[in-house]
Amino acid sequence: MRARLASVFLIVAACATGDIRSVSTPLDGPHQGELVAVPDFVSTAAIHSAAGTYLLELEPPVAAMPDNESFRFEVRVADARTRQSAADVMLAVDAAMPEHGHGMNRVPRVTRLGDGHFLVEGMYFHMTGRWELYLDVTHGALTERAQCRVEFSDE
Amino acid sequence: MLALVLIALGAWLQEGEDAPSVPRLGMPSGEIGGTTSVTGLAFDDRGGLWVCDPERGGMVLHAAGSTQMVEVRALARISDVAIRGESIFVSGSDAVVELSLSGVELRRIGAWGRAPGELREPGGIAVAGDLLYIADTGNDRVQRFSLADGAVRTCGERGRSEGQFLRPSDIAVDDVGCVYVSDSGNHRVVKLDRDLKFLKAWGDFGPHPGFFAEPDGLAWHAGELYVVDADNHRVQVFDAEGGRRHEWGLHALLPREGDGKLHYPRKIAVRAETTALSEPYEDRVQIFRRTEPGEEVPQPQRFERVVSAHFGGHVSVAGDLAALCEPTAPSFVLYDVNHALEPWEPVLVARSGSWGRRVGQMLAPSDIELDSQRRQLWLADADAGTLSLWSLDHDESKPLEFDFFKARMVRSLDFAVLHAQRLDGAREPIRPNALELGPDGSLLVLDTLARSLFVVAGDLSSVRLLCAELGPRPVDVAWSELHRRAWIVDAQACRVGSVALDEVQAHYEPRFGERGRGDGELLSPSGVAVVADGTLLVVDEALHRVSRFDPSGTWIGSFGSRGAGSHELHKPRGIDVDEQGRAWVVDWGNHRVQVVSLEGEFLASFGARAFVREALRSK
Amino acid sequence: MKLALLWLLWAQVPAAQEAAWSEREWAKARAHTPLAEPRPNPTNRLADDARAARLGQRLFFDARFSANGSVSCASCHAPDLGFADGKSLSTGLGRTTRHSLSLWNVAQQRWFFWDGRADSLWAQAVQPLETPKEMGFDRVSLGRALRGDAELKREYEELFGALPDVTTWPARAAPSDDGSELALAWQRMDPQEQRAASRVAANFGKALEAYERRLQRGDAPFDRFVAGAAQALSDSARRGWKLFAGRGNCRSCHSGPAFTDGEFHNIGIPPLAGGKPEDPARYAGIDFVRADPFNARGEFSDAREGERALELETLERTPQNFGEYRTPSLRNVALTAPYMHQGQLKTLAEVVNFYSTLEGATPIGHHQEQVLQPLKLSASEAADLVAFLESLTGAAPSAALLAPLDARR
Repeated sequence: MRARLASVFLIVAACATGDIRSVSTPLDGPHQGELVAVPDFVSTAAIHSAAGTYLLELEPPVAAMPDNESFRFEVRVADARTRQSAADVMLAVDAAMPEHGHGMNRVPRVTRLGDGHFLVEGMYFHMTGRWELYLDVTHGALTERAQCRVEFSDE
Repeated sequence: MLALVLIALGAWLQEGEDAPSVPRLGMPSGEIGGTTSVTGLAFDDRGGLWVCDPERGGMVLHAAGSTQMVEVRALARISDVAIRGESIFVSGSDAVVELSLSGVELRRIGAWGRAPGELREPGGIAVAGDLLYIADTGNDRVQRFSLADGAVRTCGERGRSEGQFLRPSDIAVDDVGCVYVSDSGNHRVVKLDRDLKFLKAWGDFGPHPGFFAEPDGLAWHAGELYVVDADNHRVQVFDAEGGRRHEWGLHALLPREGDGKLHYPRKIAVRAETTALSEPYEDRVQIFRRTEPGEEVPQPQRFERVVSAHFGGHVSVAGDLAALCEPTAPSFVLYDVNHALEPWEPVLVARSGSWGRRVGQMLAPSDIELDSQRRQLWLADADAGTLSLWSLDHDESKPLEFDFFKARMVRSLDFAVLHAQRLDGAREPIRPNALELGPDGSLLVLDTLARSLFVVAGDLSSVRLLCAELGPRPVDVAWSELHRRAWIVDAQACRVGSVALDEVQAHYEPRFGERGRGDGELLSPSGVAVVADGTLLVVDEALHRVSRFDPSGTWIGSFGSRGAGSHELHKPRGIDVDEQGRAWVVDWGNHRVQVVSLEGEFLASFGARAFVREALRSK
Repeated sequence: MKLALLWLLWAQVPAAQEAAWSEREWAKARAHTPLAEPRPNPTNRLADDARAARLGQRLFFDARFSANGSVSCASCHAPDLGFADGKSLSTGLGRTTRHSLSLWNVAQQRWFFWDGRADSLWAQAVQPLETPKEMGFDRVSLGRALRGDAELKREYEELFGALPDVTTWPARAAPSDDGSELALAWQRMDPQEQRAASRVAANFGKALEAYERRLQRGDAPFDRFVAGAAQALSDSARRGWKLFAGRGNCRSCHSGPAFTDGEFHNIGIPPLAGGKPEDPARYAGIDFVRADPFNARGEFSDAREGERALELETLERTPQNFGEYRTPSLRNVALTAPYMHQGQLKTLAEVVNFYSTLEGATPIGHHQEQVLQPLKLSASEAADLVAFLESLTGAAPSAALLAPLDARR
């Protein structure tokens, strides 16, 4: 019997006061980005990275992810302002259960399918409970995290 | 069926192999106190024990019930000693010197730097015949010097593959010339041949058998390799192939406990009947002997379930939160400091972090800086070579609840990649040893070995070299908004200097500081903070006190003295000043933080739990 | 007398109410029932083949595949001892260092052995065959033995094709790096011969897997109660479920219809002989399974690019894996005393007491906070929890499945 996905929380707006700097080309010198108003919860299929730089679209969405079963999904990473696919980025995926002090005991295989387009395989949430899903987008030396809380409950 | 039973029985009986009673090292048999921050040590052929005392700047010989001091001039931060016949080899921050037994300098090997033949803070040495081997810690490599013709061979660079190291801290040679290296940051022992070619490595991070946490001292004796497993408070003994033979070490639970209990042991010297272990954390050497027939080496009982905090060397207080690193866990912790409960004590509200190399994990966080207003913090990890930005979900309506999900990583900057892209203006990848929130929301980042100060944008989007000519060992930085300058304390020069940010060409000016124990003098400055009025608080790890100076260097006053009681400090490290003008001092040697008013009144302490209970009770 | 009766009745009401489940507790219980059919295993194309299962049943009880002719799989996995052996440390030719795992519902697991060093039941079966303290046999002798028995040869060849020609093979040989005679003989063999011998061992395992996949045992009082049989569980067992699903938090690892997450955890059980834990468990198991020639990626797998092969690739060994053991299924747990990886705890009461007090637990590392907390159960709570665990004993399948097949069929 598969567990139902109980709830998904999108963590948007890294800084509560809304003072977020959008960095479109990291490390091209001292940077003054324009402020981006990060939108509220859109859907479990679209997540903003924590400083508002990238928009990540997941297929299937987080709400369809199973627990205790190996699965795969695709991610498209775009520049949050221009909505263009982010070229020159790599994606890494991880997950953890902060209350239990442990992470996912897998390193999912990420395959680049095109500019900003990735296939993630071997994802595995092995326990029910509260997880955090991490999607880390790396451009050069800087990695920005898109994070999402995922809760599995088998009731 | 009967045959099966008999066979099984026979096998079972054989199974209970009786370990032959081999005399095992690990029985406590004495200690030597009165040495400060003792590091390396070695036995000479007559059984005398030479102990490095970096604070006194020399070696102390303990022989036949007496002690004798041999000064080693012109060598700062003595780290290790090796004896060969009638010569003593001593390593210091930038060289190895050879001395006669009476202390006459015979030769000097090496100079500060990164080229072959140069050294940066070598942590350990070994001599075998005509070959001197050096664990060149600050250069993440090992070197071999020929004492006959001066030929130099180096091996290693920063990393964790074969032929790579991370802060190798000691080195030993066996009977056939193979070389063993304590690869501390990689928590493993590496075996090389006499030409420094990689043979094998063993170990992983953790407290388990055959695992290590900051392995340090190494000694080869009678076919066995002794490895001091510092953060696991034990010594593990292996054969030449890494097969585990034995271990000993009980973890100390009370301050200065001793009596066979270990607390961050570092270096080891082994002779036939005895072994000596140095514990710089406790300013002592403990001696152990082998078991007599019928004796058993004391084994650990259950650990205390409520463990003390293991704070690193820095604290950051801003608004209603205080942040600290726990490099040995590894993790960082957040405390709520603004509540009105009595008696007042900061309340732990978050702990984040796990060991590993994935993004968002840590190897050994080195510093933390909090921006309470913006609900964000930065975490530096010098071993991982990263600086990360985290945002905080501090729910003001529920301030005192522990929240597992409070801190979220936003961004992470990889200094190795940054350097490969030539975007840091630096000569080597940045090691972020200390952080400070600087002007305009930027971060000041201090790299101790590179003797450099950098400015990093608060969102990690840019890095700029500010000054590459700091003093010999800059360990902490504080920003003075009032005077628009960064103050830097130097542990080796015993000086406080500054870098003014508004000048066209930022350069470092040593401003004040004299080496000594008197009022206003410094012996081993370890931390600095700026008070709102522009005065400075400087922590001294060797004098166990905090001193206040005005920017011109005039001494205003001091507080603290050595001990574990409520008004005392033991090897204090970092410091910060909060909005109410209270000083927060990381009382590192007592596993706690002490909060003190600027007048020197001790207000509260937290973190130690059971560790200082006895000391507090007796005061 | 009447008063006493009245009082007795009166006393029952609160007890019955105490045992009643809330909506949430019912919902949680439904997540654990019914026991599902095992997931397909594409790495063994005959995993669900009836003929393979029959061959596997023959092989399972056959003691000829051992050095002394007296040890079979059933020696340590005896049907009437819960498909385990009732001992702390299982004993084949010699005493081993681990407790025998029950084979009831074994196909519900994804990793095999306490340390997960096999990723399929067929890969698992090869190991005890060749381990000196278990069956002490070797794959070359296996090939000869199968050839030498007409019935087995016929059944084998019907499923797997012709047995190899063993005339050029040595008497005995198996790969290992202990420098033994077996190992030296193996090294002298031709690579083709080695591969053929290994394939026989793989097929041996695949037949056994087909049999073991049938060892399903669900339909326990617990299942029947959740399905509507209101008398199937005693009050005590019902209260036990409330603890299991509530304060006990047992479901975080003993999850799903098989009451196991199939993963690995370190709960601080001390070694049987005392002292500090020396067994790396999962830390060594991960390296082993990735290097095992019989794993899902290997040449004997029937699905080398499938899900299980991908899983091997994504496994990561971390220092935290040291001392982690696989969560056993709790179904039929009452049949398989003693408990834990070396049978350290003799009864279910001792197991519950361990979780209740954590007495004797080995700490995992003192620089980290401990995650497992003692449950501090009262005596009656502990008894309730045991009663619940006992209610997970299912109805045994047909007796024909649990004994050697009649050879003259």
